[in-house]
Amino acid sequence: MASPASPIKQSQPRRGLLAWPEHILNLLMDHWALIITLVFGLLVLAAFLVPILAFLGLNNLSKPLFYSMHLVCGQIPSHSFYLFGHQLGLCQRNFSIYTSMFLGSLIFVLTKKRIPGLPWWLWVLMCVPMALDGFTQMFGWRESNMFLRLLTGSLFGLGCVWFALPLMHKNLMETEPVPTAPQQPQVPQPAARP
Amino acid sequence: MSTRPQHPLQVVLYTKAGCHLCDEARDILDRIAEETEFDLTETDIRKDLELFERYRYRIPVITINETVVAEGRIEYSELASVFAALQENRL
Repeated sequence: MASPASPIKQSQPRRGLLAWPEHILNLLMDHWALIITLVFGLLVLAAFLVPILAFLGLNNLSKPLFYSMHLVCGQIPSHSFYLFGHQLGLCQRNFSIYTSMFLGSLIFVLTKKRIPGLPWWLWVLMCVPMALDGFTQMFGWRESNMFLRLLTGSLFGLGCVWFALPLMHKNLMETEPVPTAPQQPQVPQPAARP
Repeated sequence: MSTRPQHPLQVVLYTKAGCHLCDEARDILDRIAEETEFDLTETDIRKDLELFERYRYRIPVITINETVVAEGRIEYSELASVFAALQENRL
């Protein structure tokens, strides 16, 4: 005689491997701003680590770090800062962008995400100086300098996080949680008679 | 009649210890050396104050017959085309 089918226990929390995606999703939802801040912070830290490690003679560590940072930066020597006589992992413009993004997002996290967002037109306005400085230099019309790279990069980086992070926060707050379907009590089916 | 130039190109790589872009430039020169004949000299800019002041924020710098042909982040394709053009002119 066949035993009755056991009811599916959907209301119980998932355990083991099945629970990992949920945990990761919850972690991302709760700490997304902190994670973004950490990523920017690590980039800036890595930029400093490159020359420090090279200075200490640890080129086996410094070199791959420098090369991996080429993914996010052109690393032009004449447009870069130097520490202990060694080039930083990021050029001046990218260094100012990522540092301002790090500081901006850090302030956002420390103020418990209460900073109101920038209006889009002000964000565009903060991006314009870097676009002008970068493109006029790229086309060879003029040569930028360290001060302009730092200033325009910082404006751009700060504008981006100031615009994007409060907007992300607002959208996440407004997102309604998906309602779960009410559980129907499952009645065991009687065994089929021959 | 041989088509090889009598004097190979005189290439100087200005470099410095701990310069990662210089290592990359050296690798590129090694690749080009498989196809083109040239004499390579590596010069550490810290051994000459004038060179240091001139190239400290530009290295790696590559000169061919005392003319700067590449510096900073050097791409293989760009440098190879410079070598190819110079070789053609010499033949």
